Amino acid sequence: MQSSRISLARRNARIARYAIGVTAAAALAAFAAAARASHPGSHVRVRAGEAASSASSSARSTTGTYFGDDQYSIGPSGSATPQVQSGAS
Amino acid sequence: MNGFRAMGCEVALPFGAPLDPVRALFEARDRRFSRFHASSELNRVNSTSLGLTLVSEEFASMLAHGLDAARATDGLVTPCVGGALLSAGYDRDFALLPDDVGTVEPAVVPPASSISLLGRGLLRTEPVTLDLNGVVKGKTVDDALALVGSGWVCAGGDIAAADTVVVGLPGGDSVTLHAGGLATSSVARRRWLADGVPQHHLIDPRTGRPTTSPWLHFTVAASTCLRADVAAKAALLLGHEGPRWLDERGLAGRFVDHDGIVVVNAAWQGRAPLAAAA
Repeated sequence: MQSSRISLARRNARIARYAIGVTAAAALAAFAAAARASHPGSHVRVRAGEAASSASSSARSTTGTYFGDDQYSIGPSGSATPQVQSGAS
Repeated sequence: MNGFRAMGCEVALPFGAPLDPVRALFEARDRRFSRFHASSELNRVNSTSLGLTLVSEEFASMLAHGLDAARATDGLVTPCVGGALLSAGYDRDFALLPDDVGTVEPAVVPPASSISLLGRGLLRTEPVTLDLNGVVKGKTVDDALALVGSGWVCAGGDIAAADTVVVGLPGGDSVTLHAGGLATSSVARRRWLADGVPQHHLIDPRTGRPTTSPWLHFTVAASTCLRADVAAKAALLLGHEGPRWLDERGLAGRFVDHDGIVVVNAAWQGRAPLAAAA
């Protein structure tokens, strides 16, 4: 009887550990899926020789909205003296 | 013009612009995001490079900008280059680097897809040492301009402007920035040697080494300083493809190669023709 109760307790502990593990794994997977959906990263894995054209063609189809505006204005400076210097650091 | 020094560069504003709130903003960002402040949040986050980490809202926001930049440049401008910078020998404040750091090995730059962000939860599914240098300065310049409300803000030559400012360019000429952002990415500064081989801070994530781009300086105008800075880095990394890459996005770019030859793309030429600007 004593040994049976111990076996039962061990079995329950194993089930509990398993359940905790499954729950944690599911929670992590759910977090990763939600995080990826809300803020996906991106990457480029190409050989150096083909990198430029590959990255460029891929970027064309996916990145229009980030840079795709014309909300800036530059023009010739004529002979005006620069107030600041770009490329200083 | 008045200013102060922060983030390893000179920060300048027009005379009369309120300096103290801008200085406080830059110093706070530097404390949080610098690799060279032992107590920075960036270093705390990097002390564990894998798994789930809780970060501050400001850190999460800046990292989100880094991930946006990575997505917009197909991974060329990525927050995952921290390990590669360390491997290239850039492991302390630039002023403290020895003339030659000795032997270095290129590092594999993890893909940005190994980072996920949900609220303040950061999940790294493979070891990633973060470096947010690609976005922190540009975003801080934009935020500083929003703080002062008018005029312009310049940090190390990266500029956000609500009013007209004449900007000197690498190679000697200048351009007028009426509104938006302008940034120059350069491999001419922050250089050091590793076993006699020149190194610099702009890592190409495709090789894990400092870029061997044909361009020495790459200046880009965009709607914000952040976007100009991200685009300038990406275009410089893309090498000869850079000018066309910018044109496809409607961004004006001006490039100086290692021989000092100045080239502009179509978007720049249409706004500030080279002959008139020279």
